[in-house]
Amino acid sequence: MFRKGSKRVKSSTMLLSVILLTSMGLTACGGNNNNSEGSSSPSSSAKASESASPSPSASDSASPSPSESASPELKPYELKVLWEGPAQKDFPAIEAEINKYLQPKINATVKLSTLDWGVYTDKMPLLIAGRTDMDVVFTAQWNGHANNVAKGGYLALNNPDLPVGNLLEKYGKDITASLDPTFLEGAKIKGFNYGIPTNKELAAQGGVLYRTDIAEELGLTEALNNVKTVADLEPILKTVKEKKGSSIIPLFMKDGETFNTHYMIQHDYLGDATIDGLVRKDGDDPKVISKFEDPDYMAQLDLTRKFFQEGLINKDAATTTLGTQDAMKKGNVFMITSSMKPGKDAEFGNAINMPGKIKQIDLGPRTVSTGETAGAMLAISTTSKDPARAMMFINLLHSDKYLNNLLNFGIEGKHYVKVSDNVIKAGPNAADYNPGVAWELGNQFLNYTFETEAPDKWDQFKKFNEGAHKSPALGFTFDVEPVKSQAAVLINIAKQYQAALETGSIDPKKAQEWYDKEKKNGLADVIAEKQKQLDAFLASK
Amino acid sequence: MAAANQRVKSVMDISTPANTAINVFFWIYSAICIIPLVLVLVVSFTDEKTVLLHGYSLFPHKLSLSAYDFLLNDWLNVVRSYGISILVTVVGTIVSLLVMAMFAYPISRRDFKHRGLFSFLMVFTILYNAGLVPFYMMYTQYLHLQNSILALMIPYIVQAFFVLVLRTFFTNSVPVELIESAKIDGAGEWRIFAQIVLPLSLPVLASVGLLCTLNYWNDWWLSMLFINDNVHINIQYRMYKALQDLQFLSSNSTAYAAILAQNPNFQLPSETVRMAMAVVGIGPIVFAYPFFQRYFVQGLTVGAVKG
Repeated sequence: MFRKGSKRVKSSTMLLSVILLTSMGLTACGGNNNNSEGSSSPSSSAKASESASPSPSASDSASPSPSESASPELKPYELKVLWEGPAQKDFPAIEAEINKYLQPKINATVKLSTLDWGVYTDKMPLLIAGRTDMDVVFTAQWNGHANNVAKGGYLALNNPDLPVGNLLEKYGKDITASLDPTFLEGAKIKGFNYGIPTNKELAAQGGVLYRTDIAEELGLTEALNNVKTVADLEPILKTVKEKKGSSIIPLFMKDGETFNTHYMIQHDYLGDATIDGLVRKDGDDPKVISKFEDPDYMAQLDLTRKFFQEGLINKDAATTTLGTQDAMKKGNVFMITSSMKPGKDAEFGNAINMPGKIKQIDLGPRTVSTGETAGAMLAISTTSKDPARAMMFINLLHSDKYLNNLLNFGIEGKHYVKVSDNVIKAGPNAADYNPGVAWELGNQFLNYTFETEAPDKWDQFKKFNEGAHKSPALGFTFDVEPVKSQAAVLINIAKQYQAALETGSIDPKKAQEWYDKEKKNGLADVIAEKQKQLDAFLASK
Repeated sequence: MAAANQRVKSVMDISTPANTAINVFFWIYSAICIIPLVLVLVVSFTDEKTVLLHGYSLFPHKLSLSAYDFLLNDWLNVVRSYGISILVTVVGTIVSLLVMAMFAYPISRRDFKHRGLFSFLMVFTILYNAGLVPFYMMYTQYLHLQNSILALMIPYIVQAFFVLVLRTFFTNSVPVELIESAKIDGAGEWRIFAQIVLPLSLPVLASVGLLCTLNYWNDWWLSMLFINDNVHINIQYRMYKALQDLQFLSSNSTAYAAILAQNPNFQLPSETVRMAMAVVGIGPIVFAYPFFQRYFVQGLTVGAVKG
């Protein structure tokens, strides 16, 4: 028996070693191709550990650098730039091109890397906790900015008391000159900016997107052009329903895509929108109220319910997990709700492969709240050994047209081709470099526009930004910590009702039940806490 | 056939109706198990639009390779990731079996004085651990294993639960008398371990080995934690990343349109890609099952004869 066993072992070791050898071969060929990248990583990790060993030293170690950089002679420095999105094949080529341009200017080179969509939220806290060496980092309110700031991940950029001084004032003159002050005002945390917002659309507006081919076929174009409020949509959707029957869903809704999302109802929840307690974004009153105290909310629920009962909304709205983009792609949906900005219709049409067949209707006023100002920012990591240089780089991204477009769109003739001065189209090697994250990096008003977009896109954006109403709580973000347990209960209760009520799937009378449950479970505490923090914030301004 | 039917029935035979019934039952049961897999395979080759309009179907109207196109457009990286997955799985499993067996064997011997202490140390790690951040910092700051294949193996080499399983097997199924007689015959501890204990424990080694293999093969988490470049990641994490990108882009038209404007050929076949990813991810690991199965069967029969 033993002999038998050992024979088996022998044959299996043979098999294993064959697999092993082949796989080693595979990795080896792979490794060779990327020797340059591979060899650079150990050294960078070693550097990381040096800076990290005593963790609070980050700010100390940064202190000698400003004196160096203040002198006209800048030492060569490698900036590690990290943003959220897919990694790009042609990073080395772009880096080389950027370095050529950057070295004479600020004597810096760049090393580009990314964290994939969704992975960022998990990994960024680890990179921060591990004191990983980074300089310029993308951050945003929706991917954990406040948390990462609380963990000490990012430098305050306008704090004169830091050893590096007020970075924004010293090295960010072009930023303060070109960026609407509302951005910096809104993105503050406890009085300081921990990230420079991307210069892009500032206001938020809700609305609907619809299929123009169907509208034309049914002769609804005229009526659609005259829509001013949600209620105006009813006769149009009814016509679609009558003429198209069951082949077309007049209005597609789901959890998070209703007349109450995208600020169509102008609710500023001061942070997490699942926790009740809001101020009206279009008003000036800083009093925090429950959504049930807002007559508009109740009216909206009634209206949505009416739509639903008339069969204008898909029956599975409360439970479906299909995204609006996929729903439109299917081709049997006439209208969806969406957040708006100039050119949203063209953008969405391209995304769902129906270019030119989508049009947008903006509903309600344009408003600004904290979320819009802090939706995309570039921060400087506390592990940066030369924050001043990092700030200079951000400043260039906000002011230098060549650098900005090089980073965003790649090399001319290779990754894009110019159609005219400021209009471009995809080049022969577009597949190797297409980060698509211009909204993360610097100043969008410097970006080239694509052939498929309106050539005056950025002028439209400027107009869109002008005169938007500021939420009375602009710049404030609610810290849920003191009422964490109550908030958790409120969120759970909301899960029970919200999707069903706001898609019109159940009777709006149930809203009272929801309200009562919230009141029993600490709604008053949450609202009082929100009010207390907001008042303190407004008083400190 | 006729001859076979007229064979004298032995005690072990079952009646024809019963046989038919059992066969039919298992045919249906197998079909229920296999059809979903076939469906995954078929959907992965279906045209995206067809899936959106008509749902999943075993006989799609239109076939397409776009899902694999999307996944494999970077085929060199995919092949390398496969290589890394296979290397990590094979080396990791062998090393971890060896290390765990060498830990489990001494604490299974009643004549080992400190077995209580070492068992306790092992069990302690099941109940308490330091948490994610210290774990991460240990590997990145002190061992400097970020962007290294070792970081994908070391954390799973010793798993307390498997050590306990091995120990239990060694205690119960390897007769002390055998070890003693080997000792009398002049064998040293290493020889006893390698030539008596290990061969006798093939069944448990195979089961633990299979579980380790699966652990290593299915892991994407370590890649996410420790690998920052796009080079040294294993196939599961590459797939996971693609899925995350997909989910983000299909719910965020701004980001998607920005990429599309830069690269008009960019495609996002989200429904079918999920299935293609499952197919790519299952890949080689299905071939590991028959390999280990031999030992399962053998282990069972060996145990049975001994009674």
